[in-house]
Amino acid sequence: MNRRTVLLGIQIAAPVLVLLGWGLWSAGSANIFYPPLTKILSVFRETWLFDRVGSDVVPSLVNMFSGFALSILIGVPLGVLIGLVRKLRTALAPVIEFVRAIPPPALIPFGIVVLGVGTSMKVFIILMVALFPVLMHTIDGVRGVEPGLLDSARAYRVSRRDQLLHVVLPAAAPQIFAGVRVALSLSLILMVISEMVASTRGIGYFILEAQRTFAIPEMWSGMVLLGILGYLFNLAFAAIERRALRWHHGARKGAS
Amino acid sequence: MTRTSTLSTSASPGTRRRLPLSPKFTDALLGAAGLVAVMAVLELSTIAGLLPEKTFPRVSSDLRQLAELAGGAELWTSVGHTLQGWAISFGLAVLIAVVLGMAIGSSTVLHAATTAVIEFLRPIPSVALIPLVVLVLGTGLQSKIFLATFAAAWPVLIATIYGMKDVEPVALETARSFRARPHDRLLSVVLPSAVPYIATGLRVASTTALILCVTAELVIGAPGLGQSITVAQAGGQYQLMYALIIATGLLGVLLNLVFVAIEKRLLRWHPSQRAQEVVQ
Amino acid sequence: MTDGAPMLEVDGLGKIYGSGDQAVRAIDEISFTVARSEFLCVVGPSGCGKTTLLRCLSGLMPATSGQVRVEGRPLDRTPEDMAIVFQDYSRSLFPWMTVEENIAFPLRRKRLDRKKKQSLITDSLEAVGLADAGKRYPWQLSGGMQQRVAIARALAYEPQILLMDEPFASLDAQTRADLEDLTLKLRHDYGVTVVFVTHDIDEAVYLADRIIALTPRPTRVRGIIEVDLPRPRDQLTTKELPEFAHLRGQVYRQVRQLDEEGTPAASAHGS
Repeated sequence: MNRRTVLLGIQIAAPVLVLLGWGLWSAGSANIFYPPLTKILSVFRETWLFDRVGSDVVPSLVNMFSGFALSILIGVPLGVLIGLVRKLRTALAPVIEFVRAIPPPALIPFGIVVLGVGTSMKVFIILMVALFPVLMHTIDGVRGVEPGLLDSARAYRVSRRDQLLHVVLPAAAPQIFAGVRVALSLSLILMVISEMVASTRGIGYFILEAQRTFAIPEMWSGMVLLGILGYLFNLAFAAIERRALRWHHGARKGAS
Repeated sequence: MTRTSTLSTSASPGTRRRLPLSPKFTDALLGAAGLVAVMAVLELSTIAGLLPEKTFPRVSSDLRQLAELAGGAELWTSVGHTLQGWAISFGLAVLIAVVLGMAIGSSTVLHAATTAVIEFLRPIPSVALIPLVVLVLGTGLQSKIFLATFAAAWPVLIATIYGMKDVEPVALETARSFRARPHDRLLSVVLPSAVPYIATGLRVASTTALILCVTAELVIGAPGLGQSITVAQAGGQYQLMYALIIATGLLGVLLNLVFVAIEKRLLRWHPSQRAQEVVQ
Repeated sequence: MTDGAPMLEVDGLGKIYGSGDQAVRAIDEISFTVARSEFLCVVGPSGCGKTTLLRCLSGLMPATSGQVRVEGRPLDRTPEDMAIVFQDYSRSLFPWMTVEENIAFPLRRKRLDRKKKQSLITDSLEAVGLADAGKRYPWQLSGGMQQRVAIARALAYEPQILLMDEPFASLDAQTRADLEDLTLKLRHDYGVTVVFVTHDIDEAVYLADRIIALTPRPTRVRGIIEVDLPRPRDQLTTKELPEFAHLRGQVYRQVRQLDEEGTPAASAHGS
């Protein structure tokens, strides 16, 4: 066996070993906080496949993706505008710096006061938090557009609309995607926190409620679910990004 | 984007504009104007009744409340609690992550063994751990520190590994050709080139640690700014709540500024390195 | 040579960057004309504002004083019948577009029908010897091939006048010679007027009908040299002509501001 195969083998074996280790270590566990892995998995199946999908998972995810999608719909155009207009950028810089420095969960009480504890509060909070990475990265991306590319477009009398759609946006796309990726993980986090603080359903609520009623395997199953969701979102995003930015990765590889 | 050019002879420079305004100064002025404008819009919206005064007090009264708070001890106790949690968890996270990252980054076998595990663990939202942490560690400082350390360690770990892997091969070859010993190579070639990446990781970690501290205070009730905010909200003291949120934001701005300054210093000797894209 | 107005007239062009104490006079005053179908090279010492001049000529940057006229019309932005080939091909081709899309992009505004557009793309790619590269991305091509794409893009635009800003400066010698010959051939086939900025004196003498030598900053016209070498030109035989060596020396002295004996001339500017 050559070195590469060995390394690949290690790469695949390691997570399996970790899981096996967890299973063995927890197998006869009498510690109430760390139930056996098998127990967690069977509770996971009972709870999430697919008993609570409609009542908890779907509403949670709808909130999350509403806020996330809104953050892109608002953040990208706003970021392009601010990125292109220097005066606006300078004028808004302190405001943006301040609002994005507020630790996101601190806005939840504000959301509750203004919008109550319902869905709109959660979507609003997720939007507020996910907006900033999208906005900041879009601004950076637009400012960083290679001047030579804009010169080219202007020299060939490309219309302003085409310059925006076919030069500025694609050139800023790698940055925008980086921002959207941060926004995605923040959306998931804020979805959980907002449900923990103020909700009567949803995955976050379920986990916290399970902990409060000492339904420990249920709590664990909820944590496992969040882990799986986080991992899957990340995976899906990476796949979309690879497709959308194929030229970018190709150009980078070509340059090095 | 398209500028129409005036090719006719215009006044020669220096004769028209007499105001000695440096661009930095006008920028600051513009920024201050933006800040004032946003506050004025909020203030007027409240006065005009567009925003309900009860849940959305005037900005001016929020600020007055904040000024009052700043005179008392209560605010500073909360800030102290939050900062204490931030400092401990940030320090721990950096220590653990840099050591682990260097170990993983310098060993191919270890790198292979951990890649998939890290790839799986990293996207797990740290807040998912809150219930378990509360059960095991309670609702005090320990829980806060555990959560914040866990969350803040990731950006530093990833940045360190990436930085170690991204060492200029030529530099390494050169060191080898001079027969530098392995630990010399690590200290004088590998680590310095990883520093810019780590610096960016530190900035992200600082923000993350602060966020998780406030989250812990908010969700599990550990003492600090987050807890004060929830208490104010639950008690209907909205002006106080807004004042505290503003204070939290100012703390965030302050920490950001400190780290941007540190990063600038660290990056100065290595201007070609741009680690912006590493940690996202 | 001329029929009617000259192709390009530069009349007392000047450019100052910044204002007040920080003002930098990049171009002092430049005037010249370019006849229809002429191949004009602009040479000068490095940092003499060649690129600034070209940006002003193209309308990408407003001049501070003076006027540029294209076929008698004052210029306000890049005119419709002007195309530009930039030095840095990697920063002037759009990496997210294929070669064909790059060539088609400037044609959007011309509202051509699809057949006409496609034939422009195919013909121009063929003209630069890249008939098979249409579906590839710029970064999949070598530097020389990318610059060929940039030239093809300019050709498909069907310009009357072609501005080239040190287009071959970052290419290796062999590729460079190939592209110089390609440029001459295209000029011959398409009858296009070319303004070619370069810092390479050999290149200028080899390509040009006429050479304008510039002074260091603040830039003025140092001298204008007629190049009456026979055409078609050839990398070997043309460069072996004694006239070539003579012209080369003449331009060199102008650019370096040396007099006939090779010692620095007394006064550089202000004349």
